[in-house]
Amino acid sequence: MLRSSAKSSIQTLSRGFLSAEQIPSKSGPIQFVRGKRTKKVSSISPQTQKIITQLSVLSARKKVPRVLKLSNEDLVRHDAVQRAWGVYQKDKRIKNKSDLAKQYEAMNNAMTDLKSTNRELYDLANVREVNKKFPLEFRIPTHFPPNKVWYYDYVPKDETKTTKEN
Amino acid sequence: MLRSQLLKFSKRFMATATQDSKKELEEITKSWASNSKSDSFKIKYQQSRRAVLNGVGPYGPPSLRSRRAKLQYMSPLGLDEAFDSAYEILKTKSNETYKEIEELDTKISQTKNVNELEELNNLKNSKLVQAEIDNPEVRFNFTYHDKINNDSSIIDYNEPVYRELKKKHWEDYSQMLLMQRLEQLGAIPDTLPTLNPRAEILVKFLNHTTINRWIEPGKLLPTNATSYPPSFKIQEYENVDPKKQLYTVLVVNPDVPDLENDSFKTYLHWGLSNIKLSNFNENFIGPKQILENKEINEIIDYLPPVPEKNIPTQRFITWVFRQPESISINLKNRDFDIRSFVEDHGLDAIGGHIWRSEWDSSVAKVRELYGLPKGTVYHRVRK
Amino acid sequence: MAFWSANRNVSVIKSALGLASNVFSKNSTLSGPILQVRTATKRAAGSRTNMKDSAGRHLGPKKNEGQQVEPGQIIMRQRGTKFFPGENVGIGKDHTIFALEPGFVRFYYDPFHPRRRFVGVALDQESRLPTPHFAPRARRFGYVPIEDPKKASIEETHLNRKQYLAKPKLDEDLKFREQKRAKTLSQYQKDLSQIIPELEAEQLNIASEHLLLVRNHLKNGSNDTEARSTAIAVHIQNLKLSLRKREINDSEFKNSLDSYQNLISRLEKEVSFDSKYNLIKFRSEEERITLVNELRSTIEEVLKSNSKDKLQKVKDLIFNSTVLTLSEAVKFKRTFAKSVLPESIGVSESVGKNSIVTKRWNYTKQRVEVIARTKEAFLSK
Repeated sequence: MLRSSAKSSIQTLSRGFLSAEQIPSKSGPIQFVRGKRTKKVSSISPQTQKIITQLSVLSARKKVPRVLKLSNEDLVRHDAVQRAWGVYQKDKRIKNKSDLAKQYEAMNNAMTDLKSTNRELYDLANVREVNKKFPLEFRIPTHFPPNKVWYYDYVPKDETKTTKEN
Repeated sequence: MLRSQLLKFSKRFMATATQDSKKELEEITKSWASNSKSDSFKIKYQQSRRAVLNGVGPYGPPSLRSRRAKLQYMSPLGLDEAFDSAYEILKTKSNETYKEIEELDTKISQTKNVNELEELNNLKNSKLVQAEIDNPEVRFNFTYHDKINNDSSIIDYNEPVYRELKKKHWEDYSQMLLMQRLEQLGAIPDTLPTLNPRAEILVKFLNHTTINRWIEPGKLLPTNATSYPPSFKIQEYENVDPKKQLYTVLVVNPDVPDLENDSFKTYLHWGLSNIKLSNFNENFIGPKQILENKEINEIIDYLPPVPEKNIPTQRFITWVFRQPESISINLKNRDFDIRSFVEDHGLDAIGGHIWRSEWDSSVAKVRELYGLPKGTVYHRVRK
Repeated sequence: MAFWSANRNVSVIKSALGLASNVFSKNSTLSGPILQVRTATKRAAGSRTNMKDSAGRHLGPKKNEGQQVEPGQIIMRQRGTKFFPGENVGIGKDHTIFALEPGFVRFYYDPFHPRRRFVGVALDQESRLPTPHFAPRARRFGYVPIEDPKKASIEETHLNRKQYLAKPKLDEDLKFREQKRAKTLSQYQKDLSQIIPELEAEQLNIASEHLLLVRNHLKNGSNDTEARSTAIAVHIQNLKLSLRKREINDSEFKNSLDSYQNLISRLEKEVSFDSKYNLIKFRSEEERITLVNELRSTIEEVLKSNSKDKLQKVKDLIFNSTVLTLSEAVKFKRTFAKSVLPESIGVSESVGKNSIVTKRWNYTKQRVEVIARTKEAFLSK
């Protein structure tokens, strides 16, 4: 293989910690060089960096967001807003929970109904489909729509055919 | 600076400069749930009330004292709008709770079973707390006023909300401090096995002008200060009936030298029983109450701490009990077994307090005042 | 030779890095030849670490279960806390456990620390450790009384260095306070004899003592009822004590209690304190308020006058008044004795001979503004 002649074949390695990827995987001897910088050089000019360092030493406030100074009255008002937000969220949570409970109950009722009226249909509805955990028709609820919204050319499996084969 | 803020700011500046713009102050239109009736649920001082409900106006917050600070103060952006909708949300919640309370009231009037009634009353109590605990005015009143020497028109402990708020405040610091001191100084288990604190007990020595304040548990007090009986404040947090409940107060000292057994014995320094608190606000038992209230029974008269020279620091533990029935015994002997006394009378310890005393130069004077013999002097070195 | 040294470097690095983080795993991409280097390791006879064992440290229990100990005796020598110090024992910096009380050694387990072994000292031969969690602690008193009264009094009056050095100053302070108290008391007696001339000498004494105590409590921040009731309680307690000491008999006690209560009720009706805590004839709150209003009108009149020292006059009126409470006095000072009046008064259009220039920071414009004011805006000018 061709190698650029400009690069030395001796790799330098500082005494700093190196991860497995950082260790050159080339063959050839590795040599320590004391005090050799391995960190990337920052894009800020040294003068600016100096000013930033000095400022950061002088005032810690510059780094931390300023604390809101509230009067007694405003503190109580702020507290009320926070409490109202908590109440609102709690109500939402309770509603969501009760909705889910209702849904579950409806499903459960329907199933028990089915079980009592027609056992065969019930069994069929509850048949376990082997190797079909997430059918393509079944969309999992996600936060965002999928990249490909709909598979237009999708054709479901011919169920009758597969059952016959089985 | 944003333009709106700037406008408000200049308006405030102008307002302070000219007297006429006082008229610009808005009327307070907000009001909490219609069933919330107590005066203590409102902020007494109108300017503060306006600032809390309508927002900090052109004069700046009334809680800031200097004009300069008022001028410089700026409310956070958007707080006014957020507060208005928040107030509506909290108010509707409170209204709902008050409706539930009305239903509970009808239920209470119908039931006759004692246990059921107690349960319903407790439920009602918690609902009353729930209905008012988010009220910004209640929160303001509680946060920025004296919680111990309370003005009942501002913080009214007969209202369950204020009791609940105070209980939380107490549990945050004072309760923990008391338990720490009782345990670390060995008051538990030297006097009573343990304590489940349910009421705050505050102790003060009124006679002495230099320590005329509530005493921190575990403090070492000069004998001069403790030469006259202490005063107590019993702040109940549980939903007891203050018109019927009786209390016992015992001040015991478990560090009296017992030379026969080369050990210590317990003395009863003061005992009061059948103390009644008329309500949750008037719960101070001072010299006036003891003089005027003839129902209070003095189990034994007050003996001040008079420690002898060179013995270890003595602990004086005040125990407060709820008593199931009236106690009218009087003791002559100070040798006291607190555990058997508590068991015999079925007392329920609800709170305590501790102070300590050691020999000082005023012990002799106090002994003379009380007609006590000169104290024994012990060798400085413990054998 | 060069080839040899290069490979040696590699193996050195491998041993340095590979042991710690195993970065050179089996399928490492190092493809160069790796050679194991064995240097001369032939040892001389014997080892460097041989013959270094120290003498025994004499560790272990020095007292066994049930053995009697005196304070300070060592029960256990150990490295680390093989045994933890239990009741009535102490632990040294090298974890030596020693007795703090005379008694009997007990080795035991504590249910609160199930994995620890404890050593303690029981005060009696019969008692077992640990003492039950909720039972009172067994404690030894251990101090011996001084029988010789002479020695006892010497011991009682003994002061440590700090107390000894502080004593003269404390005595002086006490003397000063007592003098001050006696002065106020005699003043009170004088005032009281003028207000209620029919009081007898003894009654005068009791009444002035009572009022002095009330004054102290009021000055200390107590409210009126609390101050009065405390003073009454102190007096009644003193009476009870003199009954207990048999200085007075039961009937005397009753009589003096009754007369005291009569006296107190009379004092409450006939004597008041002014705002400087001097005794005056009884003054109701309404009367005080009318006096306050009178004072207000006199101050307003003074302010209308053109005298040069009107500010000082107003201040004197306010702070020498015996009508105003301290908070009222401060409020009066803020309203009437302002050195500069608000800008609704005396702002002149232009800077002239008769105007005084003031400077003020304008927050909106972020700069200093110069304002000319006439003399009427300043009380002191």
